[in-house]
Amino acid sequence: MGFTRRDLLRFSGGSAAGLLLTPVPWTLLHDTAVLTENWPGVPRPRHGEIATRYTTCTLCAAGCGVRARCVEGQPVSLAGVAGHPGSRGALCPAGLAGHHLTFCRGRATEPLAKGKPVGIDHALASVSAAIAECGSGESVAILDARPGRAASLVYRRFLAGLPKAVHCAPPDAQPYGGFGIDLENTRAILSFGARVLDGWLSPGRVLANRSCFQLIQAEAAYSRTASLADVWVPLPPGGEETFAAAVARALQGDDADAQAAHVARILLHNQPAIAIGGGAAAARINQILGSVGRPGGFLPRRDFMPATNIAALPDHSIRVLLIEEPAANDSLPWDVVARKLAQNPMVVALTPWLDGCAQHADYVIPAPVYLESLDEAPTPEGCTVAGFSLSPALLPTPPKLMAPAEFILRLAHDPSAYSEILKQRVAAIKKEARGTIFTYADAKSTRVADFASADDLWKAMLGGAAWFDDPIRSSRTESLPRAGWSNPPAVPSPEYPLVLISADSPPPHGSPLMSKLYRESGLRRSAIAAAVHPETGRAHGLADGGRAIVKIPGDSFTAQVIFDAAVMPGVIQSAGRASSPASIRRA
Amino acid sequence: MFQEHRGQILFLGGALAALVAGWGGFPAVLFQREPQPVAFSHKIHAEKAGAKCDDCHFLRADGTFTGIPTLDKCSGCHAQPMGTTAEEKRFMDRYVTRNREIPWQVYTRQPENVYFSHVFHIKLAHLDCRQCHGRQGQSDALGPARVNRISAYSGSPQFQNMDACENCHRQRGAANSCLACHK
Repeated sequence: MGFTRRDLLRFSGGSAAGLLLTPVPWTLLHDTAVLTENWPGVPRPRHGEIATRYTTCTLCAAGCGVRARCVEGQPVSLAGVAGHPGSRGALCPAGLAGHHLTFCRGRATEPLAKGKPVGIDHALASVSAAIAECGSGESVAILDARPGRAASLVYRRFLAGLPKAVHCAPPDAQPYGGFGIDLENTRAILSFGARVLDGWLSPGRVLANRSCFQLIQAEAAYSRTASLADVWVPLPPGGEETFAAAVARALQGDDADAQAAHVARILLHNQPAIAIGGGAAAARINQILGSVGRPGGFLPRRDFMPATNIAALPDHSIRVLLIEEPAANDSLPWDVVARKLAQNPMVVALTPWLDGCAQHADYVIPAPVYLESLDEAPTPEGCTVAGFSLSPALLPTPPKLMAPAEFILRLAHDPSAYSEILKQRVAAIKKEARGTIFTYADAKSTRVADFASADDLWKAMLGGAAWFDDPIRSSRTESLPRAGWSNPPAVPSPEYPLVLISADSPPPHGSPLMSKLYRESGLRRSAIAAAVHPETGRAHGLADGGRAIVKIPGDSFTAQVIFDAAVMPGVIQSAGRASSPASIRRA
Repeated sequence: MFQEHRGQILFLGGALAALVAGWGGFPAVLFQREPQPVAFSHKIHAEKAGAKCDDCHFLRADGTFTGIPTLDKCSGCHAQPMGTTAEEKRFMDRYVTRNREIPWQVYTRQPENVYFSHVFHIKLAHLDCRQCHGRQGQSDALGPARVNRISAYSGSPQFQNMDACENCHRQRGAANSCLACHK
């Protein structure tokens, strides 16, 4: 009798049953699952020599010291530098994830003209031609993200050779002018909407001193800082001026409402105190408190490089605008920039990112991201002494990328390299022989005068170090800059039934999920977004993700609508906006 | 008799065949044997050169583990040939003279989601190298690495599995939660 089909089934049944008693099915399941870890495209840290390298974070103006753990030269984790006088050993969530930036898919990887790839020489020739064609009354402007750097000197030198040119900065780039804040001795802060506990100055420095000062947060929204402040004063949108005036009256012993009187008492009982957040009234409070030029207040420093506030430039005056934008969330609302452009303008975005201002630019010159090229960090924001540090590259610069300062040098036909400009800056520090150098590797401070030569100082700074100037003894008590809000209260009317207020900036590129504090609406990227409560949105015929026209007295702008239940009904939140009555309708 | 129990016998035969194939043949097929690029003898280095484990496999000052030494370490002694064997000549010609790193096969490559620290196990738990690495230090030849053909991880039946880690942690009262190893 032969081997029948039934025999085959019996044998197969036995085999299947036997197989269940072997490691085969379970191992196959396990190993197939593990296989997915090794698929192509799955990023994996390299295996190899582990080394520690040092650099300085340039993601914001805080200039925190960074200790990078590198495997085979690839940074795999970043941490703060213990003892760093500015950052106090801390890094913010964005800084901790800064080495992820290089993998961001929203990067510009080659020069673009109207979205199409071009050669860098073509871009240079076109920009040069546009500059040469500037008519009378038209200017060339460079929007410098962080004035005060060696790169800023490159920009100014280039602009000085042009008949009409402006070195300008975003309105909030130099909030305290040539002053720093002596936070270590401050005992009370009255903040008009400043993000004191959410990225203001250097987060490590603020947190290290948090227990030493009372924080009064006066703003319309219950922001992250407001939620963590000692006192939150919920103001009506645009009510900052009125409230500040009431506090000023109370400080001088005049009649004021109970809330202003309570705040004034806190400020008087916790001296020295300061008011921050911009505006003429805040400056007046500082004047009454005597906060300028004394310990615990605003102290002058040496290195201030003023740049023109772009918002103060005449409308329709810029023919060629070169925008330096290290992070897309640093960008101004585009309509604010567009208002300054002349007819037939040329906009050049010097940026690593394809969103932000690059979406509106005629030319995009791709810049390296943080850690990909030698960069610099000027005086940390709010620091009471001048400072400077290099941000040595930990990764090779990808091809076709060019640092903004390099582009301007080539535009000016200057043969110098940006690294040489930085070297000159270090040599100038050595020549002046003031201040101390804090080296990251050993957390030691050495007097500049103790370095044998400028080359030695350069080498030390390339290895990770920060220069801090000596404090200056000055009795300067001039007023602080008054940039910022100066609006009347935003009172809704039949024509403008809503109120527009400023929104938190979205987190920088990288790993926003490192922080639990960002709202979902803040993570959605858009050049101009308007967040509204879903009920408010639906009542005005809007759709989540759709386009809308926001109208404010004397102006309007188009924005992407974001429904966010955390926004108060009747309010529109949009980054970089002053408080104003507003209306909104579907575009 | 066979005809009478034909069904049961075929069923059991199938089961037996599957058991033999599953326990005997499958592991041999699943793992690829990758020979080491250099015939290295721990025994000779220990006995003739007096080398100790931590002469080559040491902890750095910052606590990181050197793992397998780089060519620089080998070249320290093997700047000139140490003997006249064909294997020594091949080693010198192929790696030392050309200054090429030796592409050692790793016996126990950990998945990326596993965090293992030598310094914790040596300095805190006071484990002896042999507890995990067996008598590798006295071996006269390095055996081939077993590389899983599906997952591409190398493994040793001795300790490349989570059960061994868990058992030891349990016995010693060490942290045994998922996050202790999977960061």
